[in-house]
Amino acid sequence: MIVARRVLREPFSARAGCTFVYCFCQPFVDVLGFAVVLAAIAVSTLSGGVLALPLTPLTLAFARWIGSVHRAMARSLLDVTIPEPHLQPRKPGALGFAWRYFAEPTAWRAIAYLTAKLILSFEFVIGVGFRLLFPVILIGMVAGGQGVPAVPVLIISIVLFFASPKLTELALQYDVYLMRRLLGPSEESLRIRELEQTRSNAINEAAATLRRIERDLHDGAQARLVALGMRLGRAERQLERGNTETGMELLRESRAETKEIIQELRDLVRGIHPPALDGGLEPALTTLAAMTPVPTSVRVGLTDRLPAATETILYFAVAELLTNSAKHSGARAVAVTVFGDASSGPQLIVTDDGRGGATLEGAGSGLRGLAERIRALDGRLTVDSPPGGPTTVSVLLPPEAGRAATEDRRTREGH
Amino acid sequence: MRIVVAEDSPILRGGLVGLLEDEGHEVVAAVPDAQALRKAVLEHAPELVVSDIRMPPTHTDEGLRAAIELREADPRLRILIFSQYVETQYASRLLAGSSAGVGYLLKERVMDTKDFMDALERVAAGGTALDPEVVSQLVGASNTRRTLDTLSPREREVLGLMAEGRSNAAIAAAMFVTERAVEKHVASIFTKLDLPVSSADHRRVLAVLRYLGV
Repeated sequence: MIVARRVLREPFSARAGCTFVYCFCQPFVDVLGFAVVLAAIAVSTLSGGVLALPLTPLTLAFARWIGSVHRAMARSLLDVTIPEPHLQPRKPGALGFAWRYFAEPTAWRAIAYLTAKLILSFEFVIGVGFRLLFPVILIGMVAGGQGVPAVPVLIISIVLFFASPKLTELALQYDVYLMRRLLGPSEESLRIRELEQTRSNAINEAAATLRRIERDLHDGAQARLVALGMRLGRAERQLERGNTETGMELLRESRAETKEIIQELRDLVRGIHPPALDGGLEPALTTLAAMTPVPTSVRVGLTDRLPAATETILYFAVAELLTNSAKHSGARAVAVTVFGDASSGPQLIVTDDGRGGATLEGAGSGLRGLAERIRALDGRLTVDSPPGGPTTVSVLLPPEAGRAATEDRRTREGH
Repeated sequence: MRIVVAEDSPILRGGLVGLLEDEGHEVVAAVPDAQALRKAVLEHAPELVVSDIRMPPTHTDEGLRAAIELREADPRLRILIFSQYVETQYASRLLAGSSAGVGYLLKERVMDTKDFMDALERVAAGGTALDPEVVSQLVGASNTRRTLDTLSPREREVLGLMAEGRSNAAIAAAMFVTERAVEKHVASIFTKLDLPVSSADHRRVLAVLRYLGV
């Protein structure tokens, strides 16, 4: 009953209206675009190819514009957003010029889209034809009065009328697929974008790290050493004056200060490259787990050692996740697991029994920075953290991150 | 002497205050940033300000800017800038107005308490104290190198010590020579570099610094 009502209502829904308008307008835009392209080809041929020189760049620009019209229509009428393709920057030289104005892929792909749409124009037949057949017959009956058409025709037209929204959606899926392939950014350019993005993130990240180390040294060890020197200078003056007690007190303070400086430098070094990693990921993670306030279990199931860079990344990922757990989750236990082999790539899973609610979106979220860093390596970080917990963060690195370990080991053990 | 100390690191601030008090000075205020420094100077009207350069909130040069401002407001105020880094540009800005009663030292100079106290007293007396590191950068970067090359090694040493703001007596002590010998070197330097001769110490420093391009 409900289904029947929905089927009966569907042709009159807003969505059906939108798809109808879309299917109705499509051929006009297509034909206009295609006519311009054909005209350009015709004129070029007639002129013996001479006019092709000025016409091709113009036609390609027009094709790009037609492409954007299609995208705009899809966005406003179908609620489908096709990302804008990336126009590659013009390379220098004559070849770059020719490429930019005669072989620019975005425009040629738009022309391919127009051609494909013209050849397969069933969208119009289904989206417009099917839906108009029944009303036209009805109007004909009422106004013309030429007699009732054959019953089968009437039935077919009614069925088509009510089936058309569904059929239109099907046809549109095909159109949207074409648009994504031909009017959106190509997979290659998406990949380039991604690489550009992650590369610039990596550079910024490295700069920020250096800056942080500089700050840590400046505000920390360096300042403390100056203070230590100051105290020693004061001790010297006091001893010179014969104030043994004050002088000795200052010396004792200096010794305590020295200890603190050493501790601080040790922490700083650990933040740059943890010495424990030299012995392998497992002992390093175990050491790390022992330093966290929340009881943490570590399980490493790797057949071979990972490349040094991968071990470092995983180590710092764990360090950050453990800090997050201790700070935000209120967890009572954390489990760290690392596994994977050469074919699947290394995988890290950190689970805590805290209150959950961790997201990648939160502003200033450490998770987000970590996810960015993982992405730069073609890895993936996923967070599953329903309110009330538990929180599971998994990091999957590509298989390449797990390989080349032997060669890397050799160089590492070489020195 | 009544002194205001501005330094963002609590450890260094504490050490500095202890040191100055050990030496019999009165630290009327010890503040962590430039804004507090301005307030403390207005409130306590000290004779001398000892200030760091890099302080919150921007950690760039707020200490220096505050010091220059305070000096413009009251030219009698003595300023000793105290930094972890040597920046010729900072020295130039600090000495732009007048070099009388101004100092710029690296933080580690404090370790040699006697030297530090000398510099402090020099600044307090209206003289100049420039860190040897700053001076050697100035001499190294100077576009007057060719004329400087005409100086003898001894004379260059004297020039450096003069630029630090030392008196003839101090230069003589540092070089283990007589004051007469220093005077002779100084006269020779001024002739070679074609500088106006002046009896006042800080004028002499200024002449040398201007020559070095500050």
